[in-house]
Amino acid sequence: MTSAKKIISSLLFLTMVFGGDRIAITTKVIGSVQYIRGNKGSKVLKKGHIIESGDILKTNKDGFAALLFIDDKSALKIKENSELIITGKRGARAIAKKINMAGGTIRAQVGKQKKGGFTVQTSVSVASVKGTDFWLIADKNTGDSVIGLEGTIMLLNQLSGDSLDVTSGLTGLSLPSGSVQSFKTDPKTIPEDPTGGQTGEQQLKIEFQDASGKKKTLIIEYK
Amino acid sequence: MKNRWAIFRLRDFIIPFLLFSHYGLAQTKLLHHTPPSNGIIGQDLTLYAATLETTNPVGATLYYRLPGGESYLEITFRKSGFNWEATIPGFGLTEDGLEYVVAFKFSDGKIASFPLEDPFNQPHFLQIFPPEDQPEIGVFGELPAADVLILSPEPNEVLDQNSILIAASFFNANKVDVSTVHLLVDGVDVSLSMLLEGGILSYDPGVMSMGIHTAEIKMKDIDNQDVAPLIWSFTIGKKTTEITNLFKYGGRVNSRISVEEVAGIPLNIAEVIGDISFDVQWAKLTTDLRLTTRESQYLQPQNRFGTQFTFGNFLDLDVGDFYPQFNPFMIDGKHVRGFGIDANLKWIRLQFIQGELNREVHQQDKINGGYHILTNLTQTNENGSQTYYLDRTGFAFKKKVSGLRVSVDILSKLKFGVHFMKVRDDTSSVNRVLDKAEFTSDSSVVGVTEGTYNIESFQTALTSAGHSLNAPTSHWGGVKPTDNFVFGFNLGTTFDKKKLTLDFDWNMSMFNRDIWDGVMSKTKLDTVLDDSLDGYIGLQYDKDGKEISGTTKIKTSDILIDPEKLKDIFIINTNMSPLVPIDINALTKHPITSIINMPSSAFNIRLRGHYARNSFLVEYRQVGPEYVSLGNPFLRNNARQFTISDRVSLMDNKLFLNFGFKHLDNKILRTTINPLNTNTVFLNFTFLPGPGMPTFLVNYQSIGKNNEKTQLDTVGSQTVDLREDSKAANNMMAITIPFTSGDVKQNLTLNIGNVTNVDNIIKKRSAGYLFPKTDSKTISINLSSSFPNQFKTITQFSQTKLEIPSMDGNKLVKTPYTWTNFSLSANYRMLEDKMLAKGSISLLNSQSRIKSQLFGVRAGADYRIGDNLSASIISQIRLNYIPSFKKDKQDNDGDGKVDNAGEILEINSAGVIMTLQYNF
Repeated sequence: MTSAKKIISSLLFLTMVFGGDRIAITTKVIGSVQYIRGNKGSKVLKKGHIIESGDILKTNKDGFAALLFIDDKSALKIKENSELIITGKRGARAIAKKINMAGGTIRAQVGKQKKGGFTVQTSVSVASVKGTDFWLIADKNTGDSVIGLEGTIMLLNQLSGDSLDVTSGLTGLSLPSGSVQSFKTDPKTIPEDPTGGQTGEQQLKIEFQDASGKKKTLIIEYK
Repeated sequence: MKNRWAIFRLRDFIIPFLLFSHYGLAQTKLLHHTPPSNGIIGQDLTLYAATLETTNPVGATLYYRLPGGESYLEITFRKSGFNWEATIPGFGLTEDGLEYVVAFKFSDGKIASFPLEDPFNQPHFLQIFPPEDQPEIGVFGELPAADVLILSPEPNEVLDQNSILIAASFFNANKVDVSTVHLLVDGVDVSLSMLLEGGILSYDPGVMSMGIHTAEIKMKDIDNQDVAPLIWSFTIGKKTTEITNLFKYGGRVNSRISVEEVAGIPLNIAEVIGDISFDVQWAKLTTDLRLTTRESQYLQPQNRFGTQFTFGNFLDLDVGDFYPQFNPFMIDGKHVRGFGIDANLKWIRLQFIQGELNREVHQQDKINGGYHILTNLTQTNENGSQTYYLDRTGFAFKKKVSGLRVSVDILSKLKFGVHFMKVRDDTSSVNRVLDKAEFTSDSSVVGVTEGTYNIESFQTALTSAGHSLNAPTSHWGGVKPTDNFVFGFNLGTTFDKKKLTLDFDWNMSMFNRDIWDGVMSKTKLDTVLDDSLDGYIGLQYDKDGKEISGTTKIKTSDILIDPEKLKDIFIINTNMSPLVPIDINALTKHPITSIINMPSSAFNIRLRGHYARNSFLVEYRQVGPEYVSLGNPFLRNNARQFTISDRVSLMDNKLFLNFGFKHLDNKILRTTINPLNTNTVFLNFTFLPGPGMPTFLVNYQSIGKNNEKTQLDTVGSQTVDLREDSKAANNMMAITIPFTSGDVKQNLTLNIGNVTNVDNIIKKRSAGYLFPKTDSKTISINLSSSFPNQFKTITQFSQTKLEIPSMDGNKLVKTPYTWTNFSLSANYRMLEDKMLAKGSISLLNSQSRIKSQLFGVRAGADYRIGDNLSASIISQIRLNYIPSFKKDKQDNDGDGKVDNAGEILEINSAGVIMTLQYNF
């Protein structure tokens, strides 16, 4: 069985097991984004849409979607050309979240106070996180890369069983060959986040005005 | 609630108390206290107690701890009209439950307690429940907050006109009735347009105008009680950055004045309690203060003033009054006035304290409060004259304390720490001579007129009578200056993904009971245990001068430490304990046992596990008979205890079972003369089906005591039966039923308990033996009603029956005591919630040797003057009706009249309490 089939089978199984629980809400949609629920066809995803466990999301070339999980406000941002299934098991106090990615680019922002688990799985890797902020770019052919922005991500290569911790400033690679490795992140490789929260250099401008009406602006650059 | 506590003084309180437990009820003092059926996790719990004694207690204290804890925390009861009240702060109420003791101390030195028997070893166990959303009848507290999560937009977020989605999650707000949820945007109710499904509220307002907007979610809980609304703002427009407040402050000031008269004694107290905090983001300063008119130079400090500087989350500096905690065997929350540092870098932590545990008190504010004549020490001189001995009394030395604890935490897997603490009385702190202190001289002082004198006038009077005075300026009788040095270490680790934790804590104390004479030299040490200056400590000789084999033999030259060089750390002399920390003779034969059973050591080893809804504990702890820590004087020494218990939560945390076994004895030393074994089996069953459903609680405790005596003892010429082999069964059952009748929401609680004592060897006793244990039965019914028009009532009925045994000749007599209490309290909110009117009536009927009724009325109100300012006034009067005084032909009230009306009906207490609170 190919990896793709394995993923699809897993997705369907998870859909059956976890389907139905309302677990997240879409807070921003840009461009073309579809979702598939159960056996129904794809529909256009809109802002305010409530995500149920098992929903499949697809972003097209210009698509972008941002979700918030309702238990702990963990954010999931999905960039263009991504396909994934979102599952969650509602517990008494938290939702155990699992993102199965067929491919694409996502950013996960999981706060430190979060109670449920947060796992991202691709055909090659599993990233288990808690209290982190990271990008994951999944490609079944070239492997996965995880860019750590905050906290620690445990990146496991499912094929070899090897794992490593990816921390802030590092990029972890999990390859179809089974190897995992990490290196210092090149800032240019960090995807752009349409909703902000960028880690690049930003400016804070504070405008001052004296009694005569003269204005001066203090510019603070920060990352 | 800010709460401060301290551990009470050993000599002032514990020893009389333990004596009380030994004497049983020979000196009966009774108090009335009906324990609540349970507490609520995280919520303050107020306990009430009343005494039926005609004398007013000089102090009432509540002691509480986590079950099985090493030490008690202390809260002083406050007189509140009918009852005495003490409030346990919410953070002290955890799912582990609570153990507490109520103790009233009377002016005649006697004590009444709850529980009645052996209270500190068998405190009352109180089950603590998880909270339900049941707003209390109370003053103007804030509405309870629901755990609603704002999803979008973020508070104070700046967003563009097309990106707006208002969303919130009710995932964790399961007590909210979603049908009551309303969403207001800029004050406009848009509930009809919002979506609320699956615990997610969402609303798309479309394009909004530029500027600041507000969203507000209003809601009620499933009991239809108001819940605090959720309000937040966001900005539509270009991105700006809000400059956060660099400086924040807040606090409260509470002033309280009480004007009362209790049993004819005026009791007027004014207090100002407050706290204030300044926050500059990277640092915070918090100050707590209490100023009270009870402050007196004749007492330990009643005022409190403490400031804490917090730098980030790694450094705390305490100045003033604070309550350090190193470990339960050393210092665990006792009040210190001084300076403290707590630097916590997660992997390493350093704690340092320096200050005083007690301040100096020179004398008491009464006659004979500074001096008293010890006539038994009067000496007759050769010329026939007398030398009278005038001793100091009523003083307390300043008790200086310093301590250090360093601990490391390696990856949360291995913890290790070392700690030490030094406490020493400052003998120079107390005035050696008191010029103005007055004392009485009676007829035993020959030739001196009976009366009140000071030291100078007494000296003059004695001289005139041809006598002399010996008034030493040190080495006084009574309280001796002490020195205490405690050190130890702790180790801890976790297993199996932190499900299993193992902790070991070991401590050793050095205690000097009397340091008046200061340090002892090495030469003097030679003759500590024997009289021979032979270069050996403890070596003894027979009559022929030959060495007795088997005696302790320590060469003084082998002693590495020079006492004089160590005097700044600990004063070594013959009054120290231990003289030798370990039994050297036993060390060679039983090295491990000798080390473990060192009489000056204290340790515990504890294994805790959390598996499959089970929380189990296996613990062994031992406090040697000579272990002393003045930082925790309440520690019961000469005790070893083994505990095994488990707490199981079933049915999705609705059913809890707590059961276990404890063995306690005092057989640490092989030479224990009076062993006492206490075996306790306990079982607790709690069923909490859910909000709006009845709750059930059943407690069972069986306490067996055995002192291993099989023979009768002889005291003088008398044979006494000191054998103990008894069992006490303590049962308690509580049911709480919430129900609604019409529009009235009600909560009915039924609480039934009894204590039954059985003498297992009653058949072997003689006919005249008194088994001094008291059986008791308690029932209480509590009905709280909440009416739709802001009117709430609480109706309580309780009855306690005791059977107190005593001997009438050879006949066992059980005197029944029955207290029946009825009270009705009502609160009513009015003036648009600005005012809360409160009133209550109570009747306490006491039937024993003397029948009496206490009838009380209380009324008052809380008024919210402004958003931050509120005032409260409460007045009360309690009348004591004693019909048996009507014809007993005695002057019971000491007014010179017999059987007059004032004896039958008297004002037991009356007063007014006013409170003003300002929050800023």
